[in-house]
Amino acid sequence: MPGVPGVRGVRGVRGVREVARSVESGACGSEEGRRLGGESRGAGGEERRAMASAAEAISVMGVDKTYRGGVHALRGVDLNVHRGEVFGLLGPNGAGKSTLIKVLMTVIRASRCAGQMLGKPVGHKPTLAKVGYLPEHHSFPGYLTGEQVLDFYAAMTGMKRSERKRRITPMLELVNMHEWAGERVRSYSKGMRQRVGIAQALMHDPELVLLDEPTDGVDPVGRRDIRDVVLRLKEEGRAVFLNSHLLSELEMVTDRVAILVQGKVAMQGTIDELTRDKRRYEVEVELPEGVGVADGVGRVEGGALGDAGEPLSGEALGGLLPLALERGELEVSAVEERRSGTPPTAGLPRREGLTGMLDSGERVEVEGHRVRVWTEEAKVVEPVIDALRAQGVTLRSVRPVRPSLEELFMEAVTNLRTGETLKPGAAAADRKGGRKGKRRDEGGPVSGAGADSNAVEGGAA
Amino acid sequence: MTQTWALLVDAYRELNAKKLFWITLALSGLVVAATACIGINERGIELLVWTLDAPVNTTLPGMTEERFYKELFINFGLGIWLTWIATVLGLVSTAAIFPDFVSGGSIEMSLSKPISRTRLFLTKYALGLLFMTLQVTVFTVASFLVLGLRGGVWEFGVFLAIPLVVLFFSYLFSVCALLGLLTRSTIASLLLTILFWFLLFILNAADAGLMQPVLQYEQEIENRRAAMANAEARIERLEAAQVELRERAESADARPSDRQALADNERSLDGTSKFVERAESGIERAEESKATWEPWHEAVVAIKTPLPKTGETIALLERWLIDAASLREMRGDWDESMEEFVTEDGEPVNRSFDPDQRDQQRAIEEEYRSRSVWWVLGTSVAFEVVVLLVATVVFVRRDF
Repeated sequence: MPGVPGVRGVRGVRGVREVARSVESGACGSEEGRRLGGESRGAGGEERRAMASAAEAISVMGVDKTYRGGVHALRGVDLNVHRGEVFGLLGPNGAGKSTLIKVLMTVIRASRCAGQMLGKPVGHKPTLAKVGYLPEHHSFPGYLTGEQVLDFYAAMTGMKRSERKRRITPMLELVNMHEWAGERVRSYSKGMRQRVGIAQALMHDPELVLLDEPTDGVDPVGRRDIRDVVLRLKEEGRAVFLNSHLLSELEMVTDRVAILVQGKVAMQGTIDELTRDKRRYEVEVELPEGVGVADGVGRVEGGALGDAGEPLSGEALGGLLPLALERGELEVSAVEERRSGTPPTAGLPRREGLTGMLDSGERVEVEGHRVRVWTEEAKVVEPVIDALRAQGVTLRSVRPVRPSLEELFMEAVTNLRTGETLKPGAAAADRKGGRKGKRRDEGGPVSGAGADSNAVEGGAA
Repeated sequence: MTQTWALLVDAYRELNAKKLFWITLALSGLVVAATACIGINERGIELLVWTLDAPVNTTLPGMTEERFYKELFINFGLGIWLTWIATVLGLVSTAAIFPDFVSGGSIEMSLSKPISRTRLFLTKYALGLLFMTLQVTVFTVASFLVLGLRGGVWEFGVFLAIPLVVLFFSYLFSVCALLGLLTRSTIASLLLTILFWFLLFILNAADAGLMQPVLQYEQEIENRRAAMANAEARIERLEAAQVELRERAESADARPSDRQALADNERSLDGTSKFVERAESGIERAEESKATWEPWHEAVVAIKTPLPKTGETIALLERWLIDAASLREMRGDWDESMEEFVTEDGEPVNRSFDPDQRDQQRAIEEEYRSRSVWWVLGTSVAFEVVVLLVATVVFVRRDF
């Protein structure tokens, strides 16, 4: 795939003083935001924030949006996107992802918002000339050709005609649409429109690109192409803000992610940071014949221990933890039934199983025919393996597990109390009045509780 | 500038894609061509090489080829084509501008550009008007040529039709734009705009309908007053004559004819006095009747005042193109004196005091012409500005 024309390196970081001024001048572009921006913060704090945000492509604090009709779509979102990084925003349907992007792009006026984008308060219109945007469910006028789409929207950013002429073809080549340049958009397939949309977002050589579900309706080849484009943009020092629910795709390209649940950032950071305490080793075993089971401790999930649904207990564990105990290598400090207890790792989906603690302090968990040891060190797992082997337990596999983005995501969107996955767009819990279904893409906050908020438990759940 | 130009080019592409623009333009051309085919001669209406023996208007005093074409332009070209057919076609072509503009998936693209919402909205609005301006300009230029080539008069005044029709269209288009923003539906905004237009039409009809009796009674009162004044003058004359006649009749050498003259004079005096009495009571009755109609008419005018004056805006062209004097000349003598109510020797004419149809028409026209241009245009433009202001606020404040 050809490179992006007009390649520019990482843009020079704006002068701290300039950013400080702009942040002070009013933090949010929306009308209310201008008034509210900067409130309740001292000048010193302002400067510190400004200094911190000088390197940020996007830095917003406390973004709040309540739609007319009472849907509280964003509840104080704090978010930072560094310059030159690929940032992924995840969240279930109706979490407020698109609302947040639209607030940044001045399509929606935030109820409250403080922060900056490319060194200027959010909502500062001229700054948008340096931002590329691909809306979700975008529709280009059907009477325009691919070429005209690029030309028109680039002209709307104020780009000169000669410059536009120069860039149209390379941009269409970038997304492999140059052969269709003269065809009308109405004859394009969804994937082709998406490609043209991406080219359109890059036409004016933006410093920051916001792509809302860029791979929506695109075939696997197209997805790979888009991923390549994103990586290319990153190489060129542009910041890319991706909004997607295709987690595996995000995982491949993003440097940092934020998970938005019910209008709040549930977690934010690099995938490495977010998964650090969730990395583990998993030992998969086959139990010898004659291992008995007793009532009352847990339930077999299926596999080598017995039939799913059968009671699982101490004796069943005879093959596992207690055996290791006998050898004095494994000390169980707590064996508990966890049908209603708290999970061993915050946020993991609730499962039936048993936990223990190794001498070295690492947690160990038995679930079905898996033994998990919460460590990144292979050495720590060795005594467990030895104990199991000594008991004649057959090992199927031992492997290090690094949680996927999907696991993080599921953790964020699972109601810890009920163990249920939050239903998309189901909550009318905080709707003040009847809303007439104005927006179709943001179904409103999901029901139940978020990962860090159990506050909204409305009658809707 | 780049952005405005881009929006202009886009608007053109949109219209071009819709084909309606070209269809409307072609229709305009056809209408003008058809007008050019019609002419008049001493025998009647001429259609290309054929002459219809129908001396309709040609018999009217002051009707010339020039006036015929002017009238044709005003009554048909402006009165029917531009104000009704072309305006409806214009609304149909432009009604989709705002609903399409704010439709989901498309509006985000425009709003996320470095251009203010106010500018975006007003530019779109201006482009809608530009469409209509092009249509009217083409039609008017063609009409100007027909007037010149066929009627032999190069009347630059017809170009006033361009701003007037566009202004007239803009009253409706502002409403259409607001409704398009609110309903986001082309059909809904179009139908509601036409409904609004219809309401204006009803109001205009009510205005004219109620104005007629008011003016009729006014004129009747005026006529009766004039006749009464004449009669009173006659009474004075008769009374003076009475003294003289009585002296002569009572003198020694009075002849029978003198006595007869006195008796005649007395009768005349009596009759005229009765006439004055009747006139007085007639005035009273007419004033009462006028008083019952007047408040209704005033109410309608009051309702009309803040609304756009569609009909009157278009009528301004006629007002400017055909001056009052030549209108009088064409539609008969306007200033017949009130003498006709009394014969030359002062005898009151036994005729109705009700003004005839022509007089009524004339009075209504004069009443309309008495409404100032400021009132017609000022209040209408004020209405449009308010509607646009509301629409801009709606557009600027909305979350898309």
